[in-house]
Amino acid sequence: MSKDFYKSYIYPHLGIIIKICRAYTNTQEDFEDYFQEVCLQIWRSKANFNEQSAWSTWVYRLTLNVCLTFTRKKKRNVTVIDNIEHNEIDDDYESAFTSESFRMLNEAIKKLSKLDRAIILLYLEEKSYKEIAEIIGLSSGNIGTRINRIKNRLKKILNGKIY
Amino acid sequence: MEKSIENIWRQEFKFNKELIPDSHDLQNQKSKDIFDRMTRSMKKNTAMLMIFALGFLVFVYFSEAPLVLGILIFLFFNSLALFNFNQIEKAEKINKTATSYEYLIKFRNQLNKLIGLNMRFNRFVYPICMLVASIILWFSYGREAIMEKLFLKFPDMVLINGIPVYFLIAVLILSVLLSVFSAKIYKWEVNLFFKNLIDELEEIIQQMEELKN
Repeated sequence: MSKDFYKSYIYPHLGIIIKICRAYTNTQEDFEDYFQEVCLQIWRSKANFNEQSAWSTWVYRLTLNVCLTFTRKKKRNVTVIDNIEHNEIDDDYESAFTSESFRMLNEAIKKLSKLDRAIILLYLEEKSYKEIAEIIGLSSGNIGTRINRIKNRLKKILNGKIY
Repeated sequence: MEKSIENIWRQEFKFNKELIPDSHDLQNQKSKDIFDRMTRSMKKNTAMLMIFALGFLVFVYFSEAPLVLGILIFLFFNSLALFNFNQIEKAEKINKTATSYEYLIKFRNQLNKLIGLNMRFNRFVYPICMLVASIILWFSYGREAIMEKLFLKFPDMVLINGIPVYFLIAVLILSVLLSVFSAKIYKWEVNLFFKNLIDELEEIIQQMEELKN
């Protein structure tokens, strides 16, 4: 991957790629796997980008797809290798986020279902309901209600520390 | 003090940058990816050759063509496929612990060697295919009806062992042409199946060379 490609197409979206990958992983090793796969997919599918949507939308969709696919694969592995617990979170893993509030929020997001995680991540990135629906593949009609429900659930998990 | 999740998400995202894999790792990942995709694609094509050989044997068995021809072609294509599998395995054994650049160069050399060998083989493979197709055509159903029609149109037609001489000449010319242009045909074939992957491989090597300088 050339440095130019990285700088032009990945670096401007590094924040959201990290946030999404961290929301679906529990260890630094997994995070690196997800992150690299996302970058690889972005590079590989650049030619397929049809400019009908914004590049950032394309990146979100790709990142979520990679994360959801990897999570599914990991889940399958867990059922095969019963004794390995993949859901354990590394002690130092969350300390990568230097803000305590952000860390708490990220941990709370991880407690949501895979789909709810995807929706709230896009909502927090200020994507419109239409864009969220387009990326997730749901109808935009009930996105708003769903977001409110997810926010209430997050509030509960965070026990009033964040509103 | 309570904060909204929206504000925290937007304002408090600070991440330890040391924990982000650097672009060198991505380069390695990309090299492994192209290597895997290419060997997978080559294996798939070689397997298709074996399936074709088996299909051909079945076809000959049910046609009027001599079965020995089917068996010979079956063995011939399978030997070719086994040879290719062997070469692909050799490529897979390239030391991936070396730098991405080194193993991609080695892989490219191995690939070029394989293409070169196949190009030489195809100087014979294509004419053989042509001859076999002609024999099958000759033995295929309806041969007698066609011969009757030909005799009606060209009563003074010259035959060699019961085969019209023009048919033999046409087969011979086509076989020679296929042999002469085998390299071009094979290049077209390679481009058809591997052009994108070869271009990607060249692009990565070029980028790595640029980064090195």
